[in-house]
Amino acid sequence: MNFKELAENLGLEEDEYLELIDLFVEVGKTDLDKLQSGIDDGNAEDVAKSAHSLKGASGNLGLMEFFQIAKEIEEKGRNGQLEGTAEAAQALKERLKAVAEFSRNA
Amino acid sequence: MGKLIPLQKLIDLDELQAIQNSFASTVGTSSVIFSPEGVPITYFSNPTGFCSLIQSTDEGKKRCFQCFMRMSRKALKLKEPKILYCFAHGGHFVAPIIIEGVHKGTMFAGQFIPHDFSPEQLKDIEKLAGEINLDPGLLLEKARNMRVVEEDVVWNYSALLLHIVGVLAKLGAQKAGLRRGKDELQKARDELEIRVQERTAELKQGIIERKEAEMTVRKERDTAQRYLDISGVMFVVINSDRKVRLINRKGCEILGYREEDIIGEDWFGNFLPERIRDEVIGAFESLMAGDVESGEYHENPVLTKSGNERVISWHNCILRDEEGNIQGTLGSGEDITGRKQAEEELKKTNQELEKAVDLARQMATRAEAANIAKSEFLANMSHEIRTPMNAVIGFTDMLLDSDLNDSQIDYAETIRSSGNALLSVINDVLDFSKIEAGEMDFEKIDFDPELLVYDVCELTHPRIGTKPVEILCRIGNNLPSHVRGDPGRFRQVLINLMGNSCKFTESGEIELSLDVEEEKDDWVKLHAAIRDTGIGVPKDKLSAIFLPFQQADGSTTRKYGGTGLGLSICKKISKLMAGDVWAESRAPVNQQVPGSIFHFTAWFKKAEDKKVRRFTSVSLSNKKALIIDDNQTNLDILIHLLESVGMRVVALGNGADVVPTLRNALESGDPFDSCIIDIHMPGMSGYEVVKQIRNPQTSIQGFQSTINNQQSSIQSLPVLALSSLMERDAKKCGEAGFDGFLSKPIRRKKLYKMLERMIGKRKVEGKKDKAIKEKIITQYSVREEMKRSARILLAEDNPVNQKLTKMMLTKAGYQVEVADNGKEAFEKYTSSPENFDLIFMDIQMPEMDGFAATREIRKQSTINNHQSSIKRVPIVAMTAHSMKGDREKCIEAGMDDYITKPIKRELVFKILEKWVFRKGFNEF
Repeated sequence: MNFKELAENLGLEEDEYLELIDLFVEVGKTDLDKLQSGIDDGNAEDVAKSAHSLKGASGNLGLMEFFQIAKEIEEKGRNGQLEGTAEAAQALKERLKAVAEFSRNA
Repeated sequence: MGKLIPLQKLIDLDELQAIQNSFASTVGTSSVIFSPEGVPITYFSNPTGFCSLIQSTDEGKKRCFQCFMRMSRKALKLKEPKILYCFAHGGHFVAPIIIEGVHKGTMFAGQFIPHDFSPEQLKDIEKLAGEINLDPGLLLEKARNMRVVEEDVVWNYSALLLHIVGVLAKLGAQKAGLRRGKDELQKARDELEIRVQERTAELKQGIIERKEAEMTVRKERDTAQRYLDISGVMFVVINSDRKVRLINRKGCEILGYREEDIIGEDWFGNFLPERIRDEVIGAFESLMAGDVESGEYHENPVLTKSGNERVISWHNCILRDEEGNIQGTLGSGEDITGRKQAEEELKKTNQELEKAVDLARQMATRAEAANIAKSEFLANMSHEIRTPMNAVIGFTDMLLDSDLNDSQIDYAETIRSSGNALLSVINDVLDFSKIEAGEMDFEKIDFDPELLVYDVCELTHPRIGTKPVEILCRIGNNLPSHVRGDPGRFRQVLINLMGNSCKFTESGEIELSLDVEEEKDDWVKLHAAIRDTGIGVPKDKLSAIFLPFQQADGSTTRKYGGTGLGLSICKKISKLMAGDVWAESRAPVNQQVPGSIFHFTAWFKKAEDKKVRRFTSVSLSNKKALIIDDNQTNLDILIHLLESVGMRVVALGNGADVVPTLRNALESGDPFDSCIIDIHMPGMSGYEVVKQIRNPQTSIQGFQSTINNQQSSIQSLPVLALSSLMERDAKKCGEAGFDGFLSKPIRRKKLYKMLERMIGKRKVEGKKDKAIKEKIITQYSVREEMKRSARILLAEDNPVNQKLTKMMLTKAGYQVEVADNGKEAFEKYTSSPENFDLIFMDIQMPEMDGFAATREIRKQSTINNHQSSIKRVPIVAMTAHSMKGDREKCIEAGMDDYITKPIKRELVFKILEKWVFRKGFNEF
């Protein structure tokens, strides 16, 4: 993750970008909780909604791998098929943790 | 034996001095011998002028001798000779003379330097001069003439001298031993006669030893003579009676005489050319008088037997007898005739070279003058051509507005496009001559580079004609919303490069991109790239195309036209903006698309963010304008342009009538709304006219009226400046009191926009204090203000996206208000709809989604429509990706357009232009 480059792509200063990342991590945690409970309850609509939010934010910030996983979960949620979403959600959690870690050290 | 006997008692000092002197004269090396107590026991042979001068003051001599002692101790410690450098940076061969294990004295030879004194050393010497009470200038002059010899050479000569001194000293020691033996013998004779026999034998032995010693001395002398003979230097001893006492083999060789023909002859009378004889004799006599210790280094010719002259470089010193009386001089001379000749030739060549350079300089000056004259002529001609061209283009425009049939329209349009083409050629020539004459100047005004790029793309569009070419535009996200520089020149280069691409591209695309390349303190370097899919430029022509009057090849000119000046002007302008213009090209190989990329870089000052002002436009219809120009053609064009938007126009040909006309109109209750003045008029210039209008005295003088409404007073009348000259002196116009500035030929849309802007501003400001002078409006600032004044309502629930989008829009210069969901967006908008020009609406939001919010807003405005004149606000959907049916859903809900996330700056501007600016300002 090269924050400087990602920031430049968006036409932002690095600290402006880091501010956005922190916000993303914070909001992402809530979204991930919602996603998890949606998966646990088998509520496909909640899954799609929270994944959509995660997808939009990550895509805008240029975190493309995160975006890709969230996008797949969203599609599965829309189609009412939640198989494999638990694993994908776990992957998102780990990635979000990594982003948080990275931001702290940046 | 001999331990207590000092060196001067051991050695025949005269003999020693003679040897030292002959060394000095052959190698130019001086020498001296000091006693262990630090007293010189021989004279300095051939001392340098530098050393002699230092020793000429008491303080200098003291230091010199102290230093000699220091060096002596150092060499003694080492028990061997060493080359040491004294306090004045002179080099000396320092050798302790040790006889039978006892230090008898120290020999110093040298007074040389291995290289010319360094600047630091010369500084030291200058300081030294002050300390020892000498004139620094004099000492420095001597220092510069110091003899330069390599250390090795000094070492070899000095070692030989040392050897000779050593031998002499040893002999002396033996002699001394003999003298003491004699004394003892005398004593013994007195005491013990019986030992006479023994003593006699001892004496005999002494005689043998003495003879042996004399032999050795003779041998040493022979060695010295041989040394003189093999020397490559001329060596002459002249007695005080001017007769030659001694000359070596080299001397004979140079003069061409045998030794016996020279010895005993008058040196000056026979062997010197007559013209210098008296002078040299004078110098010789002053040596003989003892005025100076040694002759300075000098160059003098000698006369050879064959009557030719040879140039000799001389070292002279005085010879004295035992009592110190001057006997004559000893000179060593080197034949430098060959070197002199070479120097002479070099001098001559240099003179010829200088002459050639002089001539070249004269020719260059003449050529430059001719070039300036040519440039001035071109500038004048261009101006003379431009004036009638204005009329041609203006009247063609008018013609096109009248009732014409199709073929007439076609003819008129051909005239117009040809006129424009001719005008651009003239502009090129004018620019080129301005650059050549060094008269191109640059404005410093704040402008928005993003808008300028859109402008350029728009202007370039018509040049494509019917060719299947698409013009693309890309703006870097880092581009600042404002920079300070010359937007006209920046635009000129971009238009030129874009025009070039249009000319050479038959199909495909042309892309103009602008980005920041570098930032430094207050400066920013912009980099524009124009990429096309045209015919490309051959690799070997990539730099030649930037030379004036050059195109890739001659046939290009015939096929595509053009002066071949455009690119060279671009290059020069870029250089004047501290940047560059260059090209790269792709050849059509391996089925690659051919084409070129032209790059343009320039530095701009960063501009402060401007305050945002609300732009209020008014309809021009029925507004009254006063126009002043001395040129009837220009007046006709202006009248036509203004009347075609429904304005009422009064035209004047003279600045003096302006104020009375304005006053009359005010009195009759139908005042003017605006005034347009040509800057360059005979008699009263535009500057003077506007000053008169702005003068409070003028407005009130002799005018007693009950109408005290500031809004219609003359002083605050919006005045626009017009000029057909290339001067784009916005600053001067602003200072004179103009509100706006336009250059001819007039682009009608710009004229209208500026008039709307000016009249609208006056309306809003009302009684505002005129002292707070607004910045002058230029064609650039009108659009900028439009952009800055655009206020956007952003409805987005995701905090990350919300923040990111707001950051980006704010950076681009827009005003942004945020709503967290559809409901909030609806509430914010409906509570003050006049505060927003555009709504960006996210679709998926809690509380109320984008569709629902849009429907509510539309419903509300329909209800209110009959009571308020609020126009329909454009709502643009923001979607993550365009899903099928989304567009229909958006339109159905009452939205106008949609934009894909993440948002790009150039897209935002396109949307605004399409939904806000066009709607608001193109209605006339």
